[in-house]
Amino acid sequence: MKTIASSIVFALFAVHSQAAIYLATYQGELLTIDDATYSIVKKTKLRTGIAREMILMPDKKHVLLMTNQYSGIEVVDLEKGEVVDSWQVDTPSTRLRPTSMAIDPTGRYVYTMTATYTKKVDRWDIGEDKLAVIDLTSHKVVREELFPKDKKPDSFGMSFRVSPDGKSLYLFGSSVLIFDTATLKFSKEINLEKPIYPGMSRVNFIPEIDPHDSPDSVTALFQTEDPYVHKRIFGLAKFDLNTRTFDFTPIGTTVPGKNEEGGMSNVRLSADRKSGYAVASFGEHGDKTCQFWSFDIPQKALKSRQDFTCNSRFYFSSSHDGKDLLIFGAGFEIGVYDAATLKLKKTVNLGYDVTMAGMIVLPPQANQVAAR
Amino acid sequence: MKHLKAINSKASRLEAEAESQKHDVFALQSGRDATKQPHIPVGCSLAFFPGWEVDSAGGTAGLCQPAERDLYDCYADCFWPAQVPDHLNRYPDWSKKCAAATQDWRNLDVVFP
Repeated sequence: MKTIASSIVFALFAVHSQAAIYLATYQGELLTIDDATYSIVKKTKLRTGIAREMILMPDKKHVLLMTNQYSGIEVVDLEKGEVVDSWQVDTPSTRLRPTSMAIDPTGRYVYTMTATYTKKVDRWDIGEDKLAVIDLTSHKVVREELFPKDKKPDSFGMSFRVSPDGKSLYLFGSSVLIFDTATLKFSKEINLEKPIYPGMSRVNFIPEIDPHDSPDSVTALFQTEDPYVHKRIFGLAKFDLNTRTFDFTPIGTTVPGKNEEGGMSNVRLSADRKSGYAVASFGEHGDKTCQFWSFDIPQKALKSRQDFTCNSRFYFSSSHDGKDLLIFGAGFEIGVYDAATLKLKKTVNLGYDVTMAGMIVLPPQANQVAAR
Repeated sequence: MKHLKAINSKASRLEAEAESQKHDVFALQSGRDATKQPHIPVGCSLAFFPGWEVDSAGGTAGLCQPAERDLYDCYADCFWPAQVPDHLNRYPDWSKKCAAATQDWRNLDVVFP
């Protein structure tokens, strides 16, 4: 009996201690997917609707989600596989529609962009864009400030990130906007050239998705243009969230050898941060083609390229160990590609259309073994 | 042509109230002040972006293949209008039998307002 009980405990532990991938579906569920086999091990039903944003909380044991229908906010305990807290921000006559979010290092406050939609007798009044701070303990908006009118946010949202000391809020879009977290006042702007592929630029600046990037910096691909010949150049760049310094190393000309249409995805790092991977797209609509690009990060050089068949719209991520490159989104499948050869290994049919909330990849939780 | 004229105080008040409400109603394509927020009547949509039905070039080559792959992303996440029920407000369970649109589209419910 004792042996059986121990085996059961060990088996349950094994599920939780494995690396896992989390995806939100249009059935209002959070899928827990085994990183090794890509099989669904758990489905967590959300209480407030379909998740359109999700982020791993600083303790790496909870996920914060924002849902669509009534601007719901939910916290899922990954170990228990259940919703431990949820509430709705909307009222019968107002919609807040928070978009984009970042959590401060304490895990208590979430920074987001809002616009209040007020229902009148015969119309909706749309309020101005605001930066807001939501207290996850009291469930209330504790601070908000009008977004600078001359710094209009990108139409499809901006990527948010809080500095490790919790004092600065970074908004990554066509440029880097820096706000003071205490007052939500704008303090500085760093201009950057971004890839021109529509809808892809925001993916470049979501460091939470890459578990291998340093927590103090953001590694991404950037484009820029020289001021004389105006030749576009792309390269690898690192933005230090503490010092606000920007280190840019050019690699080559923009989407080399192809036409002006196209762009680059976010870059994903290997576990040892010596290799990086990205997707380059060329052309658009019926002429669109895609390539995997692999980079030698220490040398800041392009190592290899491989064509692959891509959908019109997709997201790019990688497994926790960086050995698999994952293409997902706009549907129910995950394309698994070998990072070493850049070739397709298999296509996983999840059976559920996934939302645009992105993917969370969680490495094995080694501390759970020690606790038991 | 204005045929009615207020001759008592109550009528004058009604006239003044109607006059004050005039600027709440205007044609959307008129040359109004660009700094004013758009007036979106309840139940209507201003967005005519190509999306689920056609791509930005007016064709279908840029859409996901098959188009059902874009069904939920386009109207639920991007808030683009499409000939589907209002999932956010009135028909939240419209697609609960259709987990993957490409595979299960036959299970989608028809709704009658």
